Amino acid sequence: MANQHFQIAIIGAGPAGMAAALTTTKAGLETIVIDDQKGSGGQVYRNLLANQEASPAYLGKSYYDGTELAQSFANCGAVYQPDCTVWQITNTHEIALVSRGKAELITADYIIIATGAIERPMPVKGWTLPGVMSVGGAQTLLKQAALGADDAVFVGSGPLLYLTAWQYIKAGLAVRAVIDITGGKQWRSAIPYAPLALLQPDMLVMGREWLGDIRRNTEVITKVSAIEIIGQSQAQGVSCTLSSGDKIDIDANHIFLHQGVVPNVNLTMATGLAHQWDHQAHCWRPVIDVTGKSSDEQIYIAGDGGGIGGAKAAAIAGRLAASAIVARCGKPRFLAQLYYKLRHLHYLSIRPFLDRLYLPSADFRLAQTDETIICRCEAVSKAGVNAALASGASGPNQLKAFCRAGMGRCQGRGCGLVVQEMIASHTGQSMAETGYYRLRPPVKPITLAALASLEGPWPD
Amino acid sequence: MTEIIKSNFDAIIAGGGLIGLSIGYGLSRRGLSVLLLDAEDTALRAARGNFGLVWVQGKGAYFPPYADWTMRSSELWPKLAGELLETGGPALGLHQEGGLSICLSEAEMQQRYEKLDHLRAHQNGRFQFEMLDRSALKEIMPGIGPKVVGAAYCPHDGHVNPLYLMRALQTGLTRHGGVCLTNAAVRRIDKKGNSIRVGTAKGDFECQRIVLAAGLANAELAPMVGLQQSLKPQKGQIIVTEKLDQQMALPSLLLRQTDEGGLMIGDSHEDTGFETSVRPDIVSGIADRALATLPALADVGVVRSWAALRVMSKDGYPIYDQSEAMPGAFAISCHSGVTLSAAHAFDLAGYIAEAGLGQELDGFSQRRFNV
Amino acid sequence: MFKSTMPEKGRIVHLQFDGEAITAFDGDNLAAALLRSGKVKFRTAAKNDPRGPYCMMGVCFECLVKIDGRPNQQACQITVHDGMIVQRQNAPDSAGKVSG
Repeated sequence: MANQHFQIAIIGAGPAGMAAALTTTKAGLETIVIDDQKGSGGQVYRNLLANQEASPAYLGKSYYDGTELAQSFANCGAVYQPDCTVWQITNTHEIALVSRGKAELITADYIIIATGAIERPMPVKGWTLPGVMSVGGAQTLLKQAALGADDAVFVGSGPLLYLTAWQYIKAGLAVRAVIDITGGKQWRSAIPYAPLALLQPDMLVMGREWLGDIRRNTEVITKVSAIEIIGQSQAQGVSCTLSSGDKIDIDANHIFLHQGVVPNVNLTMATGLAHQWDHQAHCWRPVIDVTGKSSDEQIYIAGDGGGIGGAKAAAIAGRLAASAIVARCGKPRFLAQLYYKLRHLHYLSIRPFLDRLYLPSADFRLAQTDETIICRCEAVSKAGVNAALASGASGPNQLKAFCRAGMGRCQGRGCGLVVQEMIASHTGQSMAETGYYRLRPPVKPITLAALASLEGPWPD
Repeated sequence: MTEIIKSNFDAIIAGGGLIGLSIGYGLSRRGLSVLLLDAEDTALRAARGNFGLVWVQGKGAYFPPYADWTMRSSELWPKLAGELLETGGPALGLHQEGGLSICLSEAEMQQRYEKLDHLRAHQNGRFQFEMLDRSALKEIMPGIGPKVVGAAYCPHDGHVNPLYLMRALQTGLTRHGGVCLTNAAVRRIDKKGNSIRVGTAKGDFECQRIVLAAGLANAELAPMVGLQQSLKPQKGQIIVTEKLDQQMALPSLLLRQTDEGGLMIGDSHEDTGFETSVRPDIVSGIADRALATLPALADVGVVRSWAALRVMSKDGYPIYDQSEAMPGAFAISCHSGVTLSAAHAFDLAGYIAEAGLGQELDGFSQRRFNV
Repeated sequence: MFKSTMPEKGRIVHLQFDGEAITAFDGDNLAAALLRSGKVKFRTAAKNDPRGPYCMMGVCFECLVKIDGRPNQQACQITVHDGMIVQRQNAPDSAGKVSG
């Protein structure tokens, strides 16, 4: 594959990447899809093809809805490269990859970045203990390995949490409790946008089904003001403080946290593309036009990586970006593009409501106790970050320099938004003004041997 | 955020990198009121790209004043580290137990030897070094690869954590009453009666002394005070690995292990203007050389990389100048901000605070380029 | 304890985790196989800082283990193979003694 050239390189094989490949291959463009996972589907459709045989019902309709897409992708004729990580996109559009310890450069006329989302960090005391996982992590175990934990406690808010707890219940697992941090404040700010949400009644019906089954099958705790996870060598329980001041302690060895998803901007930021602070969704997103074109003429961004919209919106965004590229390659698809744009708008109509309803309060976006770990990789606590702020760190990069938060392997995915908000609170600057860590390649760690294995010729 | 309650200072420093912070710290500890003006968090910031060596070997081999100045700073470093310990931040990790310049060919060994021998000659015994052949080097670094021919060992060399140094200097500066403002790059400097007036996006300030320590931006600021600093960016790329058990007893010019355990590996010298992109071919070459040096590092993961722009004068040596047109104005630039931090904090700050740059620093004036 | 939500089937594969025999199925994700065996602690980030898998998608770097002598492997990104020797990775993260 080394030094090969493709007309289109798609990074990511979730719904956006897969759908984009369908459009580009249909138009006859040489397409490669690079996927850092072992099989297509990204996160939302993880293991979808392998699950066709047994088709466990508990995974739900929203999961199996992706079947046709996954099957079509498998047959579309794109070069599919799984188990392959992109660690850099240079400013001359070379894509630096590593697969099985060997690094290579490929080039493409157009690149579609479809690397999806990650979960918003949820720093609570004790969250680094073994047995604590993100809800997404728990869901992946269910999809990929048919594994679930009995008597788990789900903590947080957001559709992914309710879906996963529902899947657990449907799989016959005993869910100990769901601690829902969604509050009255969130409802009040979201309600004016409910009419737009009515444009997607199927989503609302599905959500209502999840919430109903959860209420009937487990203890739901609301009006929560603080959470703490207890344990020494592993999670032993959750201690929950209610707004009334009362405390509820629940024994649990498996605790799943979730407070929303945000675009995974590491590759797009390291590539130097323009980003903006999304005030409504309280996260960073790349600056893209309606077709997904970034600040770089050759690079498009599709799916949750360009702004959270969910699986269906992601697939349409993949189609939209791909058809814009296909048009630029001399095969305009005006009607198709118009159709995709309208569908995309439709799928995004529920976002103003959902984004507001499930935006966690500052109490949960930020850590509540000094000992809470903020940067997991470097084990920097809230107190450590505050000490760096007291030393005069006034921006994320200076703060990183002063206390190492953000210097670990995850490159800020687990702490960046929290650190940014701590700095903004301290300095009085807005989130947009505060900025973010300056991200650089390698976007994921690469061994020295793999790096050294990169061969020329080098472009000028 | 400290509210500025005054607008008049004994000294204003333009630039919050290693030079500005070192001089600012040095002035504030002498009792001067100091305002340090820094640009944005994402400005070029050579200091944040620094490798962290407190390096003596080779410096000023062909320019004795630089060799003297470097040696002086190296000797003052323990005093700086001791004082900064009191600021209570993370340990600076200063180690001055010697350093190595590892050679992968006989030609490199020869070149290195000639340079250091020349340096030794004009230093009257002050500068020591030893060329280690492969077997001697193997005793210090048992894991060296078959391509390693030997190294130049210098007992004066060392390393430190440059980012924690900056944190400590900043804390020290504020503890002594200094004020630091960010997003306040200097835009304008002129005389106002007996004072110097400095204009920034955050307002105007007055001072008796202005020290330009803004790195590459000094080229633009110097004329405002009647000086000139011809500076060019020279790009260098560095990669950093995940943490390892202690591997390296001594730092080397291109490979050092931090106290936290990560390996810092460099480097490059590129002439590509003001851009700071990381190039896969360059970092691949850096990785290659690291593996030739210590082959067992093959499976170690690189977690970060960066490119920074060295602040280079025409001959690579510092430029220290004071203005005649605007008395009290100084322009300071160099690319060895870590090594010279101690000399800057003590000696240079002393000159700036008192009578002006002494004879010792005459040779560093920009005037040397006008011959 | 994690347990299977579907009938378990497939070729049995044997691995070791810190010297203890672990049974898995051909094609299993390593992190999943260890969790199924009741292992939640995969490493320590510092003396009293035990860690285990968190995101299961390769972005958190918490599930690092040593596999067949190679450290810093993300267990959630790896498929088991018969005879795999897995060890907990204890701080400081180590690539083995390079100088030895």
